[in-house]
Amino acid sequence: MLERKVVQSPIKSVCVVEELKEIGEKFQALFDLMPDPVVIVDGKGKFLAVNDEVEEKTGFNREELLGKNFLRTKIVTAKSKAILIKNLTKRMMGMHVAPYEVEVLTKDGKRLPYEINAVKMEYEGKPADIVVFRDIIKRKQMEGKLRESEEKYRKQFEEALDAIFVADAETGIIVDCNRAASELVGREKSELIGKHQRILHPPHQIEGEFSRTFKQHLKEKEGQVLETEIITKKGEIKDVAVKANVFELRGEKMLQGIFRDITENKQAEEAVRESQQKFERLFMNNPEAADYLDLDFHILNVNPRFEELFGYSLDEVKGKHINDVVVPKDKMEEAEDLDRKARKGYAYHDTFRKRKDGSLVPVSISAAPIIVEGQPVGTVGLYKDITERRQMEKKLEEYSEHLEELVEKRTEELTEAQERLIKSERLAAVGELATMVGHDLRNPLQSINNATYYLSNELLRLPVSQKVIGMLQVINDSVDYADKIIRDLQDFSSTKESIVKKTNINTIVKETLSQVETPKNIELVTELGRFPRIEADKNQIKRTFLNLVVNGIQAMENGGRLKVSTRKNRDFVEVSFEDTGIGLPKEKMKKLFTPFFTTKAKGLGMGLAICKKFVESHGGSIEVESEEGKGSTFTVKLPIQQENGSENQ
Amino acid sequence: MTKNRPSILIVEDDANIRESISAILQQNGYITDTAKNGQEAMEKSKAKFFNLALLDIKLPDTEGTKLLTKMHENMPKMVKIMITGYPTLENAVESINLGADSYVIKPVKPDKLLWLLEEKLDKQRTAEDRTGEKVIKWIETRARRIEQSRK
Repeated sequence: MLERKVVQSPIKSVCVVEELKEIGEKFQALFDLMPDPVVIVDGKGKFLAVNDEVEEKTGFNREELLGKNFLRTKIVTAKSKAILIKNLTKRMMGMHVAPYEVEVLTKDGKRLPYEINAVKMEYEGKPADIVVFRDIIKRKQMEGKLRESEEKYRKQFEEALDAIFVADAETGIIVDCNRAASELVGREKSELIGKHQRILHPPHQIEGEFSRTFKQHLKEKEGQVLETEIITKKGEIKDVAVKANVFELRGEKMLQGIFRDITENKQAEEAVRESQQKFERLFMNNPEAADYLDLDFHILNVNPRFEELFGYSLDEVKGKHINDVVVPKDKMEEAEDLDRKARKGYAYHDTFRKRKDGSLVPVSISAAPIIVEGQPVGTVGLYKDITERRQMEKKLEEYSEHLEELVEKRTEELTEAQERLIKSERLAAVGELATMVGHDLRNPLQSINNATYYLSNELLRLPVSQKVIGMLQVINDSVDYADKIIRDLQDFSSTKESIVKKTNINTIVKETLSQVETPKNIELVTELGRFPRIEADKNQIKRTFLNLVVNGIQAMENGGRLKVSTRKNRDFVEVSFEDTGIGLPKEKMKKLFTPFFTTKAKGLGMGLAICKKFVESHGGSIEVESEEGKGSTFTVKLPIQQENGSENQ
Repeated sequence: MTKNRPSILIVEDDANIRESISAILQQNGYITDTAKNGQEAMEKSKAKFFNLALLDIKLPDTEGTKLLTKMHENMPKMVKIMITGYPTLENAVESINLGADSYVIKPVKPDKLLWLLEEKLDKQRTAEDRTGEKVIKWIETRARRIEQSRK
């Protein structure tokens, strides 16, 4: 509390005293009301007045301060004391001192920063200093925070992964950049700061003075990400994404750009684009019809071949359910089944599908789900037209059946041939044996012949009965017969070479007939045709004809007619022996020409087999036609032309 | 020449055939002898004169053809007839070439054989006669010449 002291002055005036009183009161009010601590000190530093705030803020009472020199108090630090007294002295001398900072000490030792603003004045007639302590704690705190945040910002700026360039928005001169920026362009900070921002970009990115994106960012694209290219010191061009913002720095407009190297991204993008294209191409150029369906099997896309195969254009079917478009009614269930399978994995099915015009086409369908990032997003289906394949399959089936038939047939034939072979081998073996036996029989037969002859001569001289002579004849006949058998066997088994000469068949017929004793009850008819002579073994042919004539006669025990006729039949000479005898049953006819087969009570049955052998060795054939009870006709065919192509005269 | 009864040598290894042929030939007035193999045949034919020999082609110790050749060397004038049970054209041709006068196939009919023998022996006789005549004529001619030269 300011003591009310009236200023004593030599000029006594009531008005002045009143005025002064007013001023003094006003001053007092102001002094007390000041929100900041204020003190008045004399020229030496002695406290003359102290306001409430001083007490509040420092904890010192006015009683403790008034009358004392501040230098002797603990209200300010020593350092501050030095400055204070210096500046006080200055002020006393009339010099102006700018506000300055001091540290005030509270009673309990706390240091409080204050800014001092003081001015010289008169107080109670003496020169004094009024000192206002401005609280700069908050300011100091704020300054601290600011400094902190500046440092933080600085750190972030420097250590940012992305390159950051700050350039003057008007001039384009780079004022700042971080480490990443330096690395991005391969230049040192010193090489960048102060240079125009256009050195960061390749020429084709520069429009006029500034780079394209710089201008864009400034103009309308602030805060947006733009793509451009930067160029390194070495000349390497990199793709970058830039986001730039405008801000103010010390009153100047700045553009801060954050650059991110997207070369790799771009490459990845490029790769993705390429692979997309490839997939597109794979789909569109696929030689088989393909469809791409969503998860509900609605058509998203079909390729040109699909359009061709089914007759629909993409526009006509897009969005429709695939089954509604191409599945024939009777295949609906199957199709749904296929759909289900295709959701889960590869599915294959051969079936029919329907074209736009209603016609059916056999197809082989392959379908699979399309999975992207682990999730199915649709299905793809391929349709292969298997019309041809079906036809081939059918043909193959038919052929295979036919083949089976053929195989069966062949097997039969083979079995038969084998049987025949076995039979003929057996026959050959038997024949060989028979021949050997035949040979060995010759001698005994000779002896019998000789002995019989001798005996008959002797007996003729004696009076013996006819019967006795007859018996000898019996022996003779039997030997003849035995001999014939041996000869037949030999003929059949031998590989006697035939003596082939130009032969007149008709002559042989006549000779044969003249040799045979025709019984009276048999009529003999001959019909001889005209044809050239043929190459033949006369003996063999004669024996054959002989055999056939004798057979014919023997078949007509009760008489009949034997007709022997010859004719030319294309490349053959045909000789037929037709009788009106008992004929042959069908079963017998098959075996007729096999050796050891006979219909007669006696005889080995070699005759016809030998005939067949003889005839076939000429390249000819022998056949029989017969009807039981009516008669038989044997026909011998002999080729006119021989193998070597010479036609006979 | 003496009209002796012709003698025939039967060369055959089968005893029954030897015996039976012998009997027939004898029945018809021939003198016979037999040999059962090639060796015996050669011995007998060297020891005695035979008009004719019947040779079986198959003999135990030799091929009939070999025997034939030997006989033809030694007794060219003897009639040689081959008998065989194995008729082949080659055999026949070979035999004739080697000196056989004929060739028959077993079993041969006795009357046929007799007929053949008669034919061949007749030929032989005629040839002999002719030879004999030639000799007489030659002597006569010689004698006449000698007489003439003496005159």
